[in-house]
Amino acid sequence: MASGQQWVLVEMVQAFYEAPAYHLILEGILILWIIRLLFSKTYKLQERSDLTDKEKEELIEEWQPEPLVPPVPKNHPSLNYDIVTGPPSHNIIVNGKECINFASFNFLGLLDNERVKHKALASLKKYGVGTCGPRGFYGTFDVHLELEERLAKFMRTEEAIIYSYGFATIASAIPAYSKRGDIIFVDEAACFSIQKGLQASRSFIKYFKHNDMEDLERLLKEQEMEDQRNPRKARVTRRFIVVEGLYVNTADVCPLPELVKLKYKYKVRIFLEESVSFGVLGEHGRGVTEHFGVNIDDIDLISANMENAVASIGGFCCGRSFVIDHQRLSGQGYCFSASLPPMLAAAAIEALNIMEEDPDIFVILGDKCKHVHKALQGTPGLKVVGESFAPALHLQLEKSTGSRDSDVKTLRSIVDYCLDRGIALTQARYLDKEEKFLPPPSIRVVVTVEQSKEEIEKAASCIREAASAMLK
Amino acid sequence: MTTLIHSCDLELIRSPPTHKAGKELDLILTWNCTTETLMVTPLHLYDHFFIRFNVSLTEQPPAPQPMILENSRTLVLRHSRLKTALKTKGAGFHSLEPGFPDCNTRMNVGVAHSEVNPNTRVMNSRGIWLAYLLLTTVLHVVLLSIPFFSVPVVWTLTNVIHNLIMYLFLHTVKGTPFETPDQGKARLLTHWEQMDYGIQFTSSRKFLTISPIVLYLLASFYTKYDATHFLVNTCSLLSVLLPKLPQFHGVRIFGINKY
Repeated sequence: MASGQQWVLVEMVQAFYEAPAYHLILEGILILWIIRLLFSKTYKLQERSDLTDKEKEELIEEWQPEPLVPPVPKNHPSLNYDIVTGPPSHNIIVNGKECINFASFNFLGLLDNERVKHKALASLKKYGVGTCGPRGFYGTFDVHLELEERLAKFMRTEEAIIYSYGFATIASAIPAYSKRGDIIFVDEAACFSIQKGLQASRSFIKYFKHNDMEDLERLLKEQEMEDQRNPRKARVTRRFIVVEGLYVNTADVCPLPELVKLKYKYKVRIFLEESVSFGVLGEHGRGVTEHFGVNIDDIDLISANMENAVASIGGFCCGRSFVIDHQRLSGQGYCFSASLPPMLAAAAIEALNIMEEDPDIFVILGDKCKHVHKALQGTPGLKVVGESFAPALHLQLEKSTGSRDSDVKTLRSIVDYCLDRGIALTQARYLDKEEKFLPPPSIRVVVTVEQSKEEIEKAASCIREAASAMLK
Repeated sequence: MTTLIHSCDLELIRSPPTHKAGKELDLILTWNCTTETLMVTPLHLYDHFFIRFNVSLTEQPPAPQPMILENSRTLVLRHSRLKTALKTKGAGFHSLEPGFPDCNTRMNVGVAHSEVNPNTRVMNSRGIWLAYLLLTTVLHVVLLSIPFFSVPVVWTLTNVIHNLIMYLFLHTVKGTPFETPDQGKARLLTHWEQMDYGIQFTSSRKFLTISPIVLYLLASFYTKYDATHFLVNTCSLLSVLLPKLPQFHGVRIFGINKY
């Protein structure tokens, strides 16, 4: 060694004897610490409970379990179904009686379309019925990849991803991006699947009044002030706005251009849920972005289910590649559910073909929607809730009796009256205890391209008669 | 050989030829079990064949275990180890799995596991304590091999660099490098806070608390209790011991490293 020091043990021990007192005391404390550590028990930090054992026993004694099945009256509406025999196409057989279908979300009439059925049967013969596996486990078929490509091309985005269950689409997409500590601004009228997605994401949810951009801006401004107070926290917080294109619960459209302006002003990401507006709005059926002329790249994620206009099963999300690719590993409904049956994927591809070949059906549907909207105005005791171009309108009671049960009963009597006269209607159903903002009870009237003008007139007059008869 | 087999209370199960050349080269010896449905099928990859049979236990006498014959060509089945399919190769001997080991000590690399946050189990996995000690030793040896550092300086440097790296990895870096299914519960927690899901005084935590103390004691011995070295080493030790106290769980002083 360069310094030429010899390390003899004697020298070292001598240094130990000459060591300063503070140093030795510190070492003694440390050795005591080691011994204490070796004998300490493991414990959880929040284990301490302030109840004694006796109190715990008392609490356990006096607990009465709620019944697993709460007592339900025999005439509860959910126990008395309307039974449909045969396909829910334009002429639907309800409870043995043939009616005109004003209840199923078959906007483009693709449910009974011969081409779609033919393709589905050919696919059934080729692939069988189910896939028996999730996408990562031999459940990816060429029809899935083809459908994803076609959807991406149709919506003019980079990539699309298919889910096998429409409800699970947005409910898996939201928690894939938004985690604990993130903030989501969502409309009060959001549908139940969005609410479940929000619940699964464990983020902070802030509701703004339905379609009220001032309320949303107020919330965004508050958040901005919070961010300025704590910029380090703001840098790791993600912010999202979740809206629907056409709301299922209120049948009106979100003000998308203002939302895009707010997005760029306050740096939030937009998730758009287009279940009802896909295949309905816009010149080519591309949804609310085409309807307003908004650039599709401004929307970060578009999610829709294919169970309405496309008359298939499942859902899809589309957007930029790096956004959609994330869901291939993080979308719980994608990774851990069996994939879409190839028969339904083929049916969806054929439905897309029909939508691309014949964009006139959207104009026809728009006309019919306006017609129905006009025809239903002036119904005594019922008000029409929804835009004139919305294909699924709500009829709510103008004057509610105050109790939801009696309102539901009244509407049910109107529906029964119409069913007897060959018009199939339905009430909008909700899980009363689970919804965050329960909408008032209503009858949902659905417009499809297959309904003729006479049928629409007949339905409107039938509803008017029913309302004047039942709402005296 | 058959007399030897019988003297050990083993039974030789007759089978069809197990080698391409038509000989019964792979022997099945059992003790206190019966076999049934013996099947021998050729494999296209090896010259030996694939042997498959079912084994059922008979009543076990509490007698002392017989001496086992282990040879590259024979496999002995004991009542404590059950296998229903065996593959024998020309050379090599596949050891049978010893039942179900304690999953906590196995490193589940590339294996499907149900651990919500794998970061919590890293410091309990097999071999990591030894790896940590070896790494510290390697650091010390590397520093020792630099010619112009004297031994006290080397020890102080080892102590300081070890504590610095420990502070960086255990008390600075937050969250997980992978997505966890609990929607980011551990996003703001350092690795020390994530260890064992926040349970205090587990064995890994005790080990990681004791090792810087031991290093400090060694360093103060080898620096001959010099005052400057004392100051440097003690500050470094405190910086790495204080965050490990249960009272400091989740504490961020002056908001440093909070988000």
